[in-house]
Amino acid sequence: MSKDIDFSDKEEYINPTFYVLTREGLILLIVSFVFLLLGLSYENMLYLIHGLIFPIIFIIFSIYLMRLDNYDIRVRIEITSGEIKAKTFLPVHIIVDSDRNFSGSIKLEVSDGLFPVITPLVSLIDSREAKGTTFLLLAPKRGKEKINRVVIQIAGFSGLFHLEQRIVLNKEIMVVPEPQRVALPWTMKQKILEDLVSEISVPVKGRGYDFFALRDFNFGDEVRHIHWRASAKYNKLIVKEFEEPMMLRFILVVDSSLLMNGPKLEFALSAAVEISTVIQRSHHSLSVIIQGDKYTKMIHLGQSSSALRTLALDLHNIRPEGTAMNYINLKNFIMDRRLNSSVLLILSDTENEPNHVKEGMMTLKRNMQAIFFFGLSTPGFGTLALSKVRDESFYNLDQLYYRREIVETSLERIYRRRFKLYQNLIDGPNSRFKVVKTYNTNILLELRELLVAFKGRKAHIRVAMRGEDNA
Amino acid sequence: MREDPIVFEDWKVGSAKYVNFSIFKRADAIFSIIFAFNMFLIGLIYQNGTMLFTWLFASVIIIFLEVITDQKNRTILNRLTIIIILGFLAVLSLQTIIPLLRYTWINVILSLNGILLAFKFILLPIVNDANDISGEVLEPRNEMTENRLMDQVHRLEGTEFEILSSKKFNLIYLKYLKINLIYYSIPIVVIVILFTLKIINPNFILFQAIIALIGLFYSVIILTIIITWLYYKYMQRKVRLEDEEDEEEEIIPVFPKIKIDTT
Repeated sequence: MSKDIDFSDKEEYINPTFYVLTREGLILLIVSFVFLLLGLSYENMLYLIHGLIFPIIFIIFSIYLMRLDNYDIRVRIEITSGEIKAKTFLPVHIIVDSDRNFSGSIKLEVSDGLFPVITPLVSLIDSREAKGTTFLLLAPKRGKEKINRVVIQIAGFSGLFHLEQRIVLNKEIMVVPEPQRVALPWTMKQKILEDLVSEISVPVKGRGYDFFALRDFNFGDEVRHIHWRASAKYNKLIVKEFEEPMMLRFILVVDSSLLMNGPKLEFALSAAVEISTVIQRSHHSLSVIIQGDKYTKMIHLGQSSSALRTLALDLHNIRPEGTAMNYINLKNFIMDRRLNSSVLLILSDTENEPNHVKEGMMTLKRNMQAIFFFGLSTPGFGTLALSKVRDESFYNLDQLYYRREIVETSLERIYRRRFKLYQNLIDGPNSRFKVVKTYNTNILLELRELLVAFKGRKAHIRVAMRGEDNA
Repeated sequence: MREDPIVFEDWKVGSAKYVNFSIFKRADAIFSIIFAFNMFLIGLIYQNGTMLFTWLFASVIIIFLEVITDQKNRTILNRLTIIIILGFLAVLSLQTIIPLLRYTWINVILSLNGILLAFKFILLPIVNDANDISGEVLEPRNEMTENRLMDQVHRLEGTEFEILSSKKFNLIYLKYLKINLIYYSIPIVVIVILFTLKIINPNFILFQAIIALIGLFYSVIILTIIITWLYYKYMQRKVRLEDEEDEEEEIIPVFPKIKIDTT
């Protein structure tokens, strides 16, 4: 009946039309048949009238079908894109055209992850009023969705028997991670990255373009580097020195264990794309590692213009695996690829066993230049069973009081203690911990907050080095 | 729909507000009430206790089922059950006054009831369609999401992609409804003409001939449906069996290699 069609974004179809008797139509025919028999046996008007109605409708429709020699309708389906960002809309436009006037309905069959907004998945068409209809679909979740088929019902009795055309599309829609909830201006993003780099690295004079210092002119210095204004002021030749451009290697680790399943993983992947957009335009390099228990996937961010799109597509079908992130596997993976001495940004959960995290961080701290650990808070991301219970569901005020005053406060206390514990475990001369308390933030803002706390690091190192020198 | 925090943090489940259900609800309930009242009237005229009791009782049930309870979430089978109950209740109660049914004016009331029941039948697929059209959609939970949605709709307005406005949709829906009602009214007109002729002349031979013709046509169609369905099932099974055979051919048995440690 229906066949697979090679789909392109704007395609016209001429499909065979066929006759459909619905389940309801069949039931009504049988019921009216029983009433007809009753009416005939009792010679009663009551049963005869409604017993006859559906057979006569059916006969009229059959005669109509016999008269109908050719009912070709042409269908054009337009989908704006095969890939969309999560939480955005996908319009699907269906245009139906025929040589004769018709009215009927269009039904769109889609996978579970696409939700209709404004109009449901069934719409009406009338060739005299509008040639087509647009469905607006929302893709709230990252993943692979599908527009399965379009069913067009024309010329018949609504819901009973009609002519139908089925167009099998099987069009895959890739829903890539959503953008961060808080959008930042580009200059601010760049500033945060610069702050991060300057915090991590110590500037060295070299052949860059950024100003480093002024010094006296030595024989052999390039004339174009002379600072004429300073030379005039001090009455001697002074040249400018420049900073050696720092080429840092960033590794972004996204914990993809089952504990992260849901909003946390979505945020982490969205954050990965956000950080990538900033680093891709700089001269630093970035690799994204998706780490589950046994599953490790590394995506290296290239320099080409399509690198971000490729990254988003690579991230769209990440599924959680394993109960907790395996730090040993992560460390081995990094060491095998000689990625040590990189800057590690970890997006992980705060539900892991503290000892497990402690051991993991011990192994990583030794080999990395700096570590920034972002722990995603469970109450903040609304993944606790408690957060699904709304205030309206409490009939008893005592219960509501119990929830508000006792359960929520004790939970807050427990989590505060847990975050403190994590902070003690992770914080060190080259590593910092930060809790991400809500979905409605930007990872770069969190990073900036972390950098403010990180300010004392250089002084810390200096003190440590002085101590070594004294020894 | 799934209860997922990612899906439902900004959106809630609602329904499209295109079709006004209350018209169908009222019409359906009014048909049932008039039906019950007519039957009650017949009982009152013939002073038949069984009919009086049955239709008073039925009225209460009808009012409960069709007026008080929510109609929107009712399936076509639920609605059909009400009609069947009404029909069979009428069969049973009319048993007591069958000898009196020879009077033509009673037949007029019963014909009216027949038409009412037929209208209730017609409403079944129409309500079912309306149910589909005002199906589940996601509605914005907050103002920010609503603004985002409206922005998208406004952006689409300038392009070929145009979401049907409520006004235009209603226009199409009324046309659609009108066409359906015209189709449905044809058999009612045919039946009314037939029965008028039958009432005027009880030995009207054409009536018997038409009934016989309908019976013949009907049984042929039902037989065709059954045979087509059986053939379709048979073909489906055959295709499935062929697929399974193909799959079996592709499977290459692999046995685990056993390594014996001799050290």
